[in-house]
Amino acid sequence: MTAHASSAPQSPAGLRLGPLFPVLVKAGGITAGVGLLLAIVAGLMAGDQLVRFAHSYLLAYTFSLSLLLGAQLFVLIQYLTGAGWATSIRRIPEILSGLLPVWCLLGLPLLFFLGHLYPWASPEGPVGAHGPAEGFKAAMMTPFAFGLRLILYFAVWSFFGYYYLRKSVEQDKTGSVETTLHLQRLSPVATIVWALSVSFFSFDAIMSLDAHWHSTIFGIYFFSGCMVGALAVIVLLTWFLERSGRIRGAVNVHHYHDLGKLLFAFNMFWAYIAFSQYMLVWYANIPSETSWYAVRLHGSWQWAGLLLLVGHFLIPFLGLMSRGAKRRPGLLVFWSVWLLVMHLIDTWWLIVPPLSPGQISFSFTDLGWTITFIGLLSAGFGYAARQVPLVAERDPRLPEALTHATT
Amino acid sequence: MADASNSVHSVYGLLAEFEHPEDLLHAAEKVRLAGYSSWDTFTPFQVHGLDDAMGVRRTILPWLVFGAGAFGCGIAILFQWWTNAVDYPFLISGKPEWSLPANIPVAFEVTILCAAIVAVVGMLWLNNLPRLHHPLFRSERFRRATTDRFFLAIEASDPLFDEVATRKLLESTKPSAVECIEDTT
Repeated sequence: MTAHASSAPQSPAGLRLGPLFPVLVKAGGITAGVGLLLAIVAGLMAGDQLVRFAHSYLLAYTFSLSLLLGAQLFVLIQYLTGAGWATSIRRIPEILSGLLPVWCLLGLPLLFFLGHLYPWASPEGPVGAHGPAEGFKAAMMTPFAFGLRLILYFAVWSFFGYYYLRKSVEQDKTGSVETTLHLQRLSPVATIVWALSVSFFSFDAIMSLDAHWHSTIFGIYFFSGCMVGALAVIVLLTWFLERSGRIRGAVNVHHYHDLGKLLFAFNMFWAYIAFSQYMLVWYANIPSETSWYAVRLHGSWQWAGLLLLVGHFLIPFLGLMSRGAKRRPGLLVFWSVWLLVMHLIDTWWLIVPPLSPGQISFSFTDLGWTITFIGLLSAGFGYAARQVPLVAERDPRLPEALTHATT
Repeated sequence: MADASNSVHSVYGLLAEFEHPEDLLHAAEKVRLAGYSSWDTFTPFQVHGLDDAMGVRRTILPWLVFGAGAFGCGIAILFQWWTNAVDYPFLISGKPEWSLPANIPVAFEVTILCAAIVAVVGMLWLNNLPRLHHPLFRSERFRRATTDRFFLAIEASDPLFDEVATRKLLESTKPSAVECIEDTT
């Protein structure tokens, strides 16, 4: 019907990773190796019985996991809303979310470090000034119950990650509309389960670093970070694959524009949630609630807090606001990298401060594990992407995505 | 068509009708290249690429909205500062008299209020709305602009407008009809 209909681009087929596979896997593998070495050496040399080592692992792990989780929700939302515009780039988040089974295995080492990380797991341990959990929390916060829940979350994410990728790849061969309808019917359940499991995971893995403090909005805070990170990664990978000619014809400026809008919106959402949590605690001014912020905003940690306010919100808010910033892929890539770095700093600010109250603290184990997981992401994406076409080539909504236009 | 004795009829412009959006796109391209400035197109739905074909400049509305938002944010914070810290200092739950965190929700709401009002009013203003009548509504044919026809109208007020030459230009774009629209002054 529209003007472009007569000049609709031909359906992209057989778009493959090709020669990028060894590049991604080799670069990722070497990076991960270097990072791992750095983390282990720095961890052993720290002489703190691997406490910081474990925290750095948690930091890099939740950072990378959050990107994959956000990608999974991106896929689910496409089906949930019956959206067509992103069909031509949906394979990228599908592959990322398909990495979740591997990432869930990478989460199992956390179970060996419970005593290093969580005060409720080691009342006499070196961290956790406030002692063990009490009441209902004491029942929830045992290594057994924690492990059980973690495995439950992992099972759910792995299943949806694997299933949505497998079905979509199946459709590349069959072109069956029924597959889309089936995944669509599954998506409301998957989204609800996703929301609950991600929220509870953030309570268990991050919030319980302080056995007493709680915030009901914390899960949403984590979720907003997941989406900012995931959208930034989707922009980066889309741009990278397009620039290297692997998905040419599948992406146009309007896709970048819409991804940019989502990135902008979710970053605002992150600030909104972060401020909501802060303001309620600040206003009530109850010691059991303010203790969490006291650790994170006193001493030189206040600079990290200010950096997040300015760097995670104010600057990218102004930078991504204009239409031009979202439609110039180079600029959008710049802001995506910027926000990924900020998302990492945000995760660091959530996890590390209790280890070093009053004194901002950065360690080589943080760097080592972060590099390791970035390398693993690259290698994992390369490995998984090699097995499948880079565009869902027979999805019934693909034509809509190829002629997608926005203003 | 009986003329009222004391009303003067002048030409408002020429209206061309097209059956397909592609034809309209080509016509718009042609009219733009011919150098006309006072003309417009009318379609029953959004036609992608029409803005480019017409050479429509980007609207300044975003800047107005941004300015209004910044104004709202600033005025809300200033006003709270003045009421809480200057005009009537009052101790609330042991907070400093002027506490920025407490001002943020109000600043946020006023930012949105100002930006939203300017977005709506500015949009109407830039579109010359509200407007109760338009000469094109005289055309019986033009009614199909809301269902299944695509129109292009060049106004007589355009400096390049010439009833014969402009009609020739429009006819060269293969419209299904060209109509002269009269204006009552």
